[in-house]
Amino acid sequence: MQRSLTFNIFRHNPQDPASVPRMDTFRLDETDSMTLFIALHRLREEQDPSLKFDFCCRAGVCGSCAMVINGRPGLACHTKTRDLPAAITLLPLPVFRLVGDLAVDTGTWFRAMYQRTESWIHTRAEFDPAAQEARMENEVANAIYELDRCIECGCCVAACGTANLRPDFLAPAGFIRVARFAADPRDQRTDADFYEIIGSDEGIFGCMGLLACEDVCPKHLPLQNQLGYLRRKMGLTVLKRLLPFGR
Amino acid sequence: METDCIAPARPRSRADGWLDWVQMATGAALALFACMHMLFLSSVLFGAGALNGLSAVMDALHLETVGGVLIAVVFCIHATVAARKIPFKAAQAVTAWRHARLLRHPETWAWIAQVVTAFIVAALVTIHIWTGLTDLPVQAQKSAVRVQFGGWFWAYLLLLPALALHLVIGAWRAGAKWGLVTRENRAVLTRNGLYLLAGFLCLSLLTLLRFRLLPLD
Repeated sequence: MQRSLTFNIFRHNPQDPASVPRMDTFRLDETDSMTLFIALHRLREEQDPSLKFDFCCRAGVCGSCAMVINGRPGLACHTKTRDLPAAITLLPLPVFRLVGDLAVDTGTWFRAMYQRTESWIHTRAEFDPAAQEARMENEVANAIYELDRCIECGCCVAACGTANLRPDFLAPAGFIRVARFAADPRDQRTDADFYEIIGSDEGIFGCMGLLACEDVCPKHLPLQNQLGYLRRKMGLTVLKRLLPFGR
Repeated sequence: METDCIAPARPRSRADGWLDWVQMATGAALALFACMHMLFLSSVLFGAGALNGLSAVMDALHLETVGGVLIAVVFCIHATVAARKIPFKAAQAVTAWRHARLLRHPETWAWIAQVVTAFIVAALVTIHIWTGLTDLPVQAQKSAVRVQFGGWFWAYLLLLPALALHLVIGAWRAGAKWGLVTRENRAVLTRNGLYLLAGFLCLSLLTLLRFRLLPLD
């Protein structure tokens, strides 16, 4: 039987001084295979053209349509309304700067994170444009790719307790980025170099092990295992400094 | 907390890494001690003589005095180091509470429970340690008097579940943080953690009840 869905949607335009944050209620009849992405488009086309939300690929690839869906960060395009109760509450992701209604600016955050993690291959090897690209074992390439699948939706950041409490926290998206380069044999950075990036309470030692990031990641990235791996790696780096040959 | 972008980090320090180790190591030591202490006291379930006998051996080895002082020091270190992760500022506390309510995520609620139980444990264990160390050696009759008079029974009735929760959640989270709780074994270890919690609660509450009902000379 067709349901009538009730949407409670956060509305606010931070660019308008007269705008006051509020929740607006919309009603929509559910259709077959309806996703939140479809529902939001219908709401905008049929009921309120001023409704702001981000979208691009509608296929769980671009990460633009992340929002808080009934309390949990997730992708609108990945979420079928049939998996939700008839009352649906949509909020913008916390932590990020609000653009308007459900749209947030994740780009600025991720760019700053990339700069802080120095998210590029660090090598002293001389670049020879005429040489063939160095070969890599398939296993290694797959392992790197597994860590490189992040779509920068920001769900893990929004679900992270520490990231909600302190704006300088690197958050799971930053850690998986570091893990990606730590796994890459072309990157010549040592554990001590990575310690300079994540060896602090703003880094891996600030992670409280709540694992909400693991539970909400729409791409099912191995966040839990990588966070544990990086903490052990950085913890051992501290201990090694005690040893004469560890410095 | 809304930001334009991730805020710049402060200059690097080795302290955070060390403090993380200290927090984990002191927590593990205290958890281990709490379990042993519980087992030691639960010997009263076999009769006052069993506990008094064990206590006499430990007293002869000066384990109660030296160990007690050592544990008190470790307790203070753990409380101080772990407190740096507690959102003490009102705005932070509100953010943490709203975040947990919004997310409805079991492990996030478990962390809130660990913070709340930390305050209960800190207050009551401080009194417990002081009372215990100033009245050594441990004896069944002395503990029974304490439990049967002066409101201590109710204090322990609050302390024991709080301690059990704090201990089990802490152990689970330390495992998650250091990678012992993995994606693959998370469900099993969570279930085992709940069994441990139930076991600790049953044993400690039975022991408390035994002290409550122990005939006084």
